[in-house]
Formats: sequence, structure tokens, C-alpha cells
Amino acid sequence: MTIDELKLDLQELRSMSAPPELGARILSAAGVKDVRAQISSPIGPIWVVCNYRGLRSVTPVGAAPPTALDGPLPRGLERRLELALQGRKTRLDFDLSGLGSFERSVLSKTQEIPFGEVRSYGWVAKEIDRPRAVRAVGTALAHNPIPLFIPCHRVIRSNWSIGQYSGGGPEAKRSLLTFEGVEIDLMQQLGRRGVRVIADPRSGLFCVPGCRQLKRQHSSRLLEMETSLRALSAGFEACPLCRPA
Amino acid sequence: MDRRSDGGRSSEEPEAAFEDMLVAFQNRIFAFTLALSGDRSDAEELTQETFLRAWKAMRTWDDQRRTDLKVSPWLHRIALNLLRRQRHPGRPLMVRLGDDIASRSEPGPEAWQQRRARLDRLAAMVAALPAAQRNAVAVHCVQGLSYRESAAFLGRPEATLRSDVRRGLAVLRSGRVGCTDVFREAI
Repeated sequence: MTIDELKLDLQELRSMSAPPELGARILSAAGVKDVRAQISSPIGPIWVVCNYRGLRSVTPVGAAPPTALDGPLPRGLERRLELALQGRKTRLDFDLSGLGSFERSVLSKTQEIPFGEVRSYGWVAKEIDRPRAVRAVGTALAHNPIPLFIPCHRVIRSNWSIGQYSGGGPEAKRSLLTFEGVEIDLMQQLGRRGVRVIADPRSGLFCVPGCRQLKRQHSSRLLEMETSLRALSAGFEACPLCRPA
Repeated sequence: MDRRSDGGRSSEEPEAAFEDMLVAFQNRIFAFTLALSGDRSDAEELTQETFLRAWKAMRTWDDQRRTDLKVSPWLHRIALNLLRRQRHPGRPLMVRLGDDIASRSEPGPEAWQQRRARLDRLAAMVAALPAAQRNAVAVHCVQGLSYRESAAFLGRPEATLRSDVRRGLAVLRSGRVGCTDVFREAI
């Protein structure tokens, strides 16, 4: 073979094309395209969809399956999701692009509610400096694209009745809260008696029922109160952990 | 909370830039890594890793930096660095050499199959060259950069590059590729 033939062959090598599926594989490995996978959860099997920005959606298996490439989740994510469901500390990123700034601030505030505790819609509204937007907070949480991991189930009504849950109705919400150790029946009894906050004479603080600050105390010492205002006028200060509304 | 997500996605966002880049360059990078590695599955892996690294780097850049970037040399450099890191030098040649490439037949009915097999063998031979010759042949003869561009890309004097190409081509023609390093020294 002549040197020119060899050179032509080498030039031809340049026109070799990558296998057709390689591009899609790279896009999903890079997380540029959404990938989906099924995992188990306290409310049954769920679809999780994620990309490089983070978790994008969570839907129960059985509803319409999400549109995304089937693919392995990014390394370590499944483990982190499992830890998050058990209430253990772990880092999770969320892809909330496509949502408005109000929705994003509601969801980001909701993430701060610790495992095993609850807050009211009004609390979320007040914390994000929109105290009158209680109903809008409810709407934003009803459309939470990432239930379970953005714990909208920990937001309940201000009379401590359970409220709605988009991730499978009030029963699912109740069973999730019970799973996390929230004494939801007790809270509802308090709510029916008009109790909104619990004051602790020893620490001088008042809390949302169920606040981890209270769990260290004996319940006999605690005072039940109807409003934060009453607690304040009785000389108590708002607990810095749960910041009762 | 992800602070980077600010509402909807525009075409300037990194995802779109990356997809465009992938579509534009995946075949070129695949051909390049095929010539460097001599093996299709190695080339797929190297191509994937090249783009994953590119993505990791570019997703935090602003638009200006993405626009300023000369994409093609950058991707080629990532691929070459990956190869340097992953491969121990003097990898033995895995295919049988000689007859097919030396006695090239006229294109027949299975022309496509044959062409592909022939080019795969050629890639394997290129990959088995000593590293300097292999890189020179892959950059100049396969990717089609001029001597000057190739020399700049590989960071070698142009005269050295020319001689690397010449020697590489001579070895490919002779079919004496893949001999041990000791023997290579003697050539």
C-alpha cells in the first residue's frame, strides 16, 4: 500500500461516528437530562426524577409515570434519599427551576422544619415575611413537586388538625407524621381545646406543641396557652428553635 | 436549597450549551479516541469521560467564558490527558496485523462491514505506536490539523512533529507495529 493510500485511510478514520446511543448515555450520566428511578418510601414505592441540579420530582408509583430517561441515579443519591426518609442528616439538592420565587421561598422554608415536628401554614407565611399569604402558602405546598423530601406533610392547620396532603390524602399525611413520631392525636386534642402554644416556666420559653425543646421537659410542668400573645404577656419568650407564630 | 435555579431555563443555560457541544463534537472526539486507544469500547468510555469532565468544568462558567472557549482543542486536550492518565505506555497490540491493511481489496458488496473492520484495525495499529508518534499521527493525519497546529497542540517543535508523523507512517506501512519497546528502540 502506498503512503497516500495510508493517509487516505487515516483521514477516513476521522469520519467514524460514535455509536448512536452514546450521546443519550452521556446526557443522562452528566445529569443534563432528567433520569428517573423507583425507590421505596414510608408511603410505598415512589418515582424520583433528578438531574445534575438535584431532585426534580417525586410521585407515587401507580400515578402517571414521569417523563425521563430510565437511568441509574447519580452515585450515592439513593443512599442519601434513604437517610433523609429516616430523618437522618444528609445533603440533598433540589431543582426548583420553573417555580416562582414565592413558591421557592415557601418550599425552602418548609425544608427547615425538623423531622418529627410540625408547623402551621401561618407559621410558614410569617417566617417568609408574607404573614397574610396563608392560603397561598397552602396552595404552594399543595403543588410541592418533591413531597417527602421537602416535608410539606409537616405543615398542618393552626388548630393542629391535619389538613390536606397532595402526596396521597390526609391518611398518608397522618401515617407519615406517625412514622416520624409526631403525637398527632395529642396535638389534635390540644387543638380542640384551643391550645396553640405550650409555655415552660422553667426555661421561660413558649413553643409550638411537639418542639424538640419541650421533649426534654416533664409535661406536668408545662402550661397550655391559647395564643402567643398571652404567652408573651405572661412574660414568656418565643422559643428560638420553633419560633411560634 | 438550590440557589442556582432562578425560574425557567433559557437557551444560554449550560444544559443547552452542553447539548450543542455534544452534538457537534461527539463524532470527532470518538474518532480521535478510537485512533488513540485502538478499541471501540475504550473509545466510547474515553468519549463519555471527556464530555463528563467538560460538563463538570463548564456548568459553573458564565456565558462569556463559554463563548470565549475554543471548544475543539479543549475537548481534544481533555481526551489526550485522560488517555495519558489511564493507559500505561506500550500497550500490546490486540489484533493481528499485516495482511488486510497491506492487501487492500476493491470495495465489494459487504463494503461497509469491510471498511469498518479495516479502519478498526488501522486504529488499533495507530494506538500501538509509541506515544509521540501515535499522538502526532492522530492529531495530524486523523484529525487533520496542519503541522503547525498539531505542533502547537501537542506542545512540540514543528520539526520534531514532522519526524514523528513520518516515522509513524513508516511503521504503519511496514506493519511492524506493536513490537516491544526494546525492539522499537532498535528501529
